[in-house]
Amino acid sequence: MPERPDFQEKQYAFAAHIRDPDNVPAPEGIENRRMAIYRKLFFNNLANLLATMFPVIRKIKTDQQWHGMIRQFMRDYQAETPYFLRLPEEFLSFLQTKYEAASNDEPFLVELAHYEYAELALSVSTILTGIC
Amino acid sequence: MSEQQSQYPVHGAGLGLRRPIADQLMANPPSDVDFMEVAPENWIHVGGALAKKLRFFTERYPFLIHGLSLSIGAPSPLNEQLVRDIKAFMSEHNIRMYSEHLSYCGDDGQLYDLMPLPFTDDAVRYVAERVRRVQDILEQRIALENVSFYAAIDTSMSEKEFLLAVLEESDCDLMLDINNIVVNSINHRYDPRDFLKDMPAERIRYFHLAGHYVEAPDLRIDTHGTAVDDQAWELLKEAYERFGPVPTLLERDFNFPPMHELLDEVRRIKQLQSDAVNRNVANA
Repeated sequence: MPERPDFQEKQYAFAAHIRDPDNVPAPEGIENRRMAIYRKLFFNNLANLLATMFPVIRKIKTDQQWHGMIRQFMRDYQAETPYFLRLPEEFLSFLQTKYEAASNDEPFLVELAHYEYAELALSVSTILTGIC
Repeated sequence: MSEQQSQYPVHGAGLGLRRPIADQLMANPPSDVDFMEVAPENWIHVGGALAKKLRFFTERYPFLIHGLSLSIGAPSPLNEQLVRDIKAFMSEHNIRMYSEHLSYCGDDGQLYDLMPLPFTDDAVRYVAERVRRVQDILEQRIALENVSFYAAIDTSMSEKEFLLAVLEESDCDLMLDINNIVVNSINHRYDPRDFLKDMPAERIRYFHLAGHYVEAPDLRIDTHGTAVDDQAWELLKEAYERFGPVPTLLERDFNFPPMHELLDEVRRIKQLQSDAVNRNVANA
């Protein structure tokens, strides 16, 4: 792999910390409360969007479980679509390929995600108030 | 000035079209709103009733689009398919201009929000080359927006120097966000007027205006979830005095107030625009 320019190394490092703040240290020289804004903005944005897209899964999961799923999604999965309405496809694909199931996960979790995804894809309706 | 001669794609005051307020606006299309804007990533490939809704508005108002996901500064390859989709969308809905954030929103994958770019010379050249590629595919110029940021990654250049260098090197237009100047001037301790006065008038295509959240006295977050702050209104007034009545779009993304309150803000924009014109005439 060709060496990246320094500015891109910094970009990767910044994004890596946002993806996995527990294991990847914050870039040096940035005040913690400023980095915290980015950590929260990115995490909450995805958690809120996906909660509107998978309302049943969100409901059967505790906050802690749900947040664990979002964190794994950010840490282990490279979403590609630029389209917000296609985010459910990305989340489903994450659950199918990368998700490390928790011991207390429902055996039907992935199937349920598939159902919710299909329902949404059919409607592409106005229920997604989280998307502007 | 006739529309043909104007450097602006629209005129007057606009309102960002968002799903939660679309039905209300449809029931009563406000005459005070001169133009609208949507994020293309929320509407491309959308069919059915939702697509009809968008059509209702694009047939009634001059339209602009403001992208969220192009990630113009990202280390990963430019998503040229997205640009081609945007081109088709613009043609389908008669969209007058496309703007994006001078930012990036992912590494090798999308993270769906905006990260600050390192302000360096090689980042300028990298971003400018990608902007030129987008303009080539679209066969029209795009405008870049000055984004709010909360952490500086590399300050070899200042925010202002970086923005000006990218505009120059890529020869693209500027969509100036007035609230972001206020937010950044507080977050990074500079004089918002100094920033404003150095913006290249000939590249300005329109302004954005929105409310922000006060996290701490020295730290503001650009949320688009509150009414426009007094400091932003003040700076908008100065901007009109300096650049004339540049078309200005009000952005509100959540925590929507009653429609009449939003429209009050739209009318306040128009009032400031006409005040600036009148002052200009009186001084001439």
